[in-house]
Amino acid sequence: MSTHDDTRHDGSEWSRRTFLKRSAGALALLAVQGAFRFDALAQEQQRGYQFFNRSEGELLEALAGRIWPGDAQDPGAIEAGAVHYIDRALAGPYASYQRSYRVILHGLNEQLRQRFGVSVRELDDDQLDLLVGELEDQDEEDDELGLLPGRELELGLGPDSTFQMIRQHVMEGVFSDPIYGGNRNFVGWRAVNYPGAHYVYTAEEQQVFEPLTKPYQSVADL
Amino acid sequence: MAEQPRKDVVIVGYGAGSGPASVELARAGYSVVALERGPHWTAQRDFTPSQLDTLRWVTRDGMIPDFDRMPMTFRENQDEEAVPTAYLMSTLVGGATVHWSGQSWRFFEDDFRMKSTVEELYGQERLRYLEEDGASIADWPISYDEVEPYYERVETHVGIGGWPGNIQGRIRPVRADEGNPFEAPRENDYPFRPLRENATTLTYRYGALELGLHPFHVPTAILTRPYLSPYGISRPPCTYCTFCTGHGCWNASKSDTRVSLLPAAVATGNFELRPGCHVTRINHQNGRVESVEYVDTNTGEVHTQPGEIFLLGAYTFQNVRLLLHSGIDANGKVGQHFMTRSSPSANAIFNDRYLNGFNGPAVQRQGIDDFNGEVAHERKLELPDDEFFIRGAFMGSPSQRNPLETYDQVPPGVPTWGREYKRYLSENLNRYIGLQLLTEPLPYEHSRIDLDPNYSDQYGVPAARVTRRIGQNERRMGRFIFDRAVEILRAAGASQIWGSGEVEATPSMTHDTGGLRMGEDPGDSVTNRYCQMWDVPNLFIGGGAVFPTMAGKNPTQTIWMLSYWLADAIVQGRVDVDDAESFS
Ligand SMILES: Cc1cc2nc3c(=O)[nH]c(=O)nc-3n(C[C@H](O)[C@H](O)[C@H](O)COP(=O)(O)OP(=O)(O)OC[C@H]3O[C@@H](n4cnc5c(N)ncnc54)[C@H](O)[C@@H]3O)c2cc1C
Ligand code: SF4
Repeated sequence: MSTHDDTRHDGSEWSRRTFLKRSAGALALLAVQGAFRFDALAQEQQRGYQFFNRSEGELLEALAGRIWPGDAQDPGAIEAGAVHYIDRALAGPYASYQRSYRVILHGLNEQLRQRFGVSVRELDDDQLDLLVGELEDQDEEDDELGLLPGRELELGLGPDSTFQMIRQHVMEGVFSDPIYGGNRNFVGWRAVNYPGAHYVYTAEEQQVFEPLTKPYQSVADL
Repeated sequence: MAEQPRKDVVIVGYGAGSGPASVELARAGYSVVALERGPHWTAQRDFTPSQLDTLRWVTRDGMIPDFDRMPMTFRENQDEEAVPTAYLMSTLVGGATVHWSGQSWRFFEDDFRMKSTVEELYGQERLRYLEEDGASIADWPISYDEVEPYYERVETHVGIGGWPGNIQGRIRPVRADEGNPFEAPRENDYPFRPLRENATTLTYRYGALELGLHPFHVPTAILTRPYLSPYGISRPPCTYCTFCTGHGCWNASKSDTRVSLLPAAVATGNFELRPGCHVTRINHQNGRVESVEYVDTNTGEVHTQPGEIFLLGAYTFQNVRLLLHSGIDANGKVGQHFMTRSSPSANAIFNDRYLNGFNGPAVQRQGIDDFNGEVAHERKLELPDDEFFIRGAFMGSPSQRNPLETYDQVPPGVPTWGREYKRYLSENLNRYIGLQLLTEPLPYEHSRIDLDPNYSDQYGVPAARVTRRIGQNERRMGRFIFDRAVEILRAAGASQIWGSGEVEATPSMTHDTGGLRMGEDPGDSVTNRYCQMWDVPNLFIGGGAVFPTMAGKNPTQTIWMLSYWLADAIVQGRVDVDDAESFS
């Protein structure tokens, strides 16, 4: 189900079309990026990443920042450290997604560079929104990219396409317990007023129809 | 291959279906061993405090690691090739009861005589469409009256609390506005009360009352006071931590096979639990099971375990698989009449209040049975032919709405990412209610579990292959129940309501029942009334696979009840373990 609204961004339909035109086929090309050279990966361990190289991390951070946007006053996925969360998950329990992320992020970066001569750092929010929208649309049209590892895809569990995978993992980085590297300073939980790990809720706390005030707490605080 | 010392009773899988029998048989002096493929986790060592973590236990299915290891395939029609699919299969001592929600109840009286009931109420003509669809509705070979004491034993011994709705025919005997007035009559009250109300349950309750319905707090297998069970096991009450469904309880307040029954079995000195032991075959000869073969996954060694009586409690899919793989299917009925639920969904946002739905276990829940079973039969009689359906659904209002479990719940028209999405969730996540609509599925001739020809597991046991499509009854019920849900949510004051009454066939949704139907006729069923296999009478089935029909309710109290029921039949000599056709 698409609930993404084409016209809500500045520049609306027009800039979207332009972008689509300019990028026609660009994202589809991702499908044939199979010959990706792992040995060419930058070895930089920016920001203490265990998996992403610098350009991958930057690109994913840019996308995450549009999926759950924010700024210093109203922190979003970037401030939550969602990419840090994904990085740590990929270096551990989500290892089966490593290749998907490599191929997708590398491919996107290449497209930006080769076709538009830009790096992700040069894109503004609107352009990034178009990029995310494009990823989402592509999911809906056809996910024959075959980029996801077998597990969830085959079993019909969890994310079943590129955009859904990225979105799900970003949201996990926003809403999971901070022990996993995201949701820093509880900014994800603060945004929805969810207090986190508590052993006890009292009747008084449960039987109000007002926002609850309870300290934000991680399982590590127990 | 090492042969283990012989036991009187050998249990395969230690979940709901085997727990009660393990206790009762061990107490009666039988030597009992339970082979359970999963690990033995304990509240203090494994769940405190790690359990208070949605990512680990729910998002990443920390308790249900078996998607890859136990393949299952699914198709809607038997001329299609089945494809691998997902299902929630527990793998630990206590089975799925460890991470279940704990909504726990008795079936209606007429659930046990479903076929006769609908024929009496509606007549053959009105039911013609069921025949066309291949529905195989049936009566159970046992009646509610016979099993009532066993239901009560589950409540007192496992630990289930509620408001009574009907004690010996007296409706709402304890409090005029509490308890489910449509429940089957009980001899005695529950041993304790259910969970308290929260903003979500109060909201739902209000809506139901506005419409003249009969809301009640659902009975729950969660303690609300310190409780000493008749087995002498004491446990503390729930603290409403909210990390409940999908989690093991850190406080041992949630009743399950592991905390309510296992200690009682162990205390007899006659019971041995072997975790990490995966059964791969049932060895039988001349209509008798001789032993089971298993892999001790701790060492990789293969063993056989001989015994006199065998109880298969490895959950519906594994039970059927193991039987078929072992060549036990004399009359060709193993795997037939499989049932699982396909439910409509109804969601709402309440602009005028916060509900903070995260703060309570999932079964802190009000619900109604006004449209369940045949409670609403008069209204259904009025329906036009193409909307008419039999049976119905429990409709309730779950809690445990943590952000990681609810961030996808946005109405159509709201984007699923970006500024607008974030604004929407920030304002509305804690104003959200999503209902549970437990529509009753029917059994069908074409709905079955068999062995997949293409996929098998690491032990060479073929995957369970599920063939199931839904019929007109499920579709019509889905739409009707959805419309009622919308009315309740509206009456409760919802500002926006969304969802769908259209249901889709699914292979599994944790209430997977049927497949090893119990019946009166050895030619037409798999077990007799005591869950005893017709063709191998020293083999009993624990679990919902024996249900001839389902209910608009969760199955587990009935699974536990049947486990007590079959154990008593063995202990009291009501069954002959050499002949399933002679019993009293
Ligand atoms: C998230 C969730 C919530 C639920 N909530 C409710 C609820 O609120 N109310 C309700 O009534 N029901 C609920 N259920 C369903 C309930 O848990 C099941 O109905 C019940 O546990 C089934 O009992 P069982 O004995 O058939 O299987 P299980 O309890 O699953 O036990 C089967 C056991 O057999 C073991 N096993 C399987 N194969 C083998 C083998 N080859 N060798 C050795 N061991 C094996 C498994 O590891 C497992 O421990 C819920 C289920 C889930 C998953
Ligand atoms: S909500 Fe209650 S029963 Fe559920 S896990 Fe927490 S303490 Fe245990």
